[in-house]
Amino acid sequence: MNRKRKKTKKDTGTIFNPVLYLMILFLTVQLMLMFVSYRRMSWLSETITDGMTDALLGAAVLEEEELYAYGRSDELQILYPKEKYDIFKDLLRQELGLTNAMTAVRGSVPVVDGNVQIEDFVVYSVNGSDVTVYDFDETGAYVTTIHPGQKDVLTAPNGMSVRESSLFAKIRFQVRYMGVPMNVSRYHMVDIVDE
Amino acid sequence: MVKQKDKGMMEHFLPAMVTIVFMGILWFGSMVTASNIDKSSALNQVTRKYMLRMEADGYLTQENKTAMVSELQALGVEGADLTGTSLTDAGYGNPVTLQVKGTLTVRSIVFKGFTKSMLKEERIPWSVKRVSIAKN
Repeated sequence: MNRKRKKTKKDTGTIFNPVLYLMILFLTVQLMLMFVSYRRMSWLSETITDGMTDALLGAAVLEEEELYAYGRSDELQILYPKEKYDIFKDLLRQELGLTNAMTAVRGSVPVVDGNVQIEDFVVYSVNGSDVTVYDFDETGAYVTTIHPGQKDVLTAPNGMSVRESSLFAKIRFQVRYMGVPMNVSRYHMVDIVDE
Repeated sequence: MVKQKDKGMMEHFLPAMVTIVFMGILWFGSMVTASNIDKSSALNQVTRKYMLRMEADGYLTQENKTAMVSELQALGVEGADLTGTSLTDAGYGNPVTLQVKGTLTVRSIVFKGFTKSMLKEERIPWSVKRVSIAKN
């Protein structure tokens, strides 16, 4: 039997096309997910920066001998940089709810995945116009360099010139943005002031 | 020849209406989630502010304690328990801790039919711990 196929009138594309609505819905879902993820990342950035600032401010405490030297010379010199590093690490760990091995676990700051590493920790000790730099690596070991007459000239990794004794820290960690792991670094610097 | 009947108005508008309803739900859900994130951020700022004051004072003073609890209540924290918080002078160079536990009111979306509100308020456990070194 030879059936002749009847040619039907094809629907013309209109704004009532269901496929179009599906696409709009799909795009809306994507946009809303991105919006929520962005807000979560902003929150994370704020939380991590606050945690770093607080840990650096905590580490900016002076030891007894440093206080004594400050009383004599009226200059805030750092004599115990390793103590500053240890305090910073300990406070950061507690602020972000990390384990002793600096690993994020359940109960840590959300979104952070895996280990948090202190990539760089630098102590700038200003004595007159000289700057002594104690640069810590990821293992916690440090090298000391003296920069004579470099006060106001020497710049920290964040581009700020060193005017006072200060602490600089840079941490690295992994976050999951919309399920995709990403490496993130944050840095911050605080001056050690007597107020 | 049989002429195809034109689609009715309802058939035309149904996908559009369904899309609008779903978009509304998505938008509403995103806003609720964003408001919960903002609340978390505000709570962080409140606890951080009092932590910085504790750093300067060496402990959480009675005045600051009252003010902080009141600010937390305004953000939806009930039954703030400060066990573990430094309430006496720690002294220069010693650790100061701010630890608060309580329940927090958050909003979520639950679908229970078209006649009931989708917005649901629930209480979840909330806690925060901040540490620093006293510089008083």
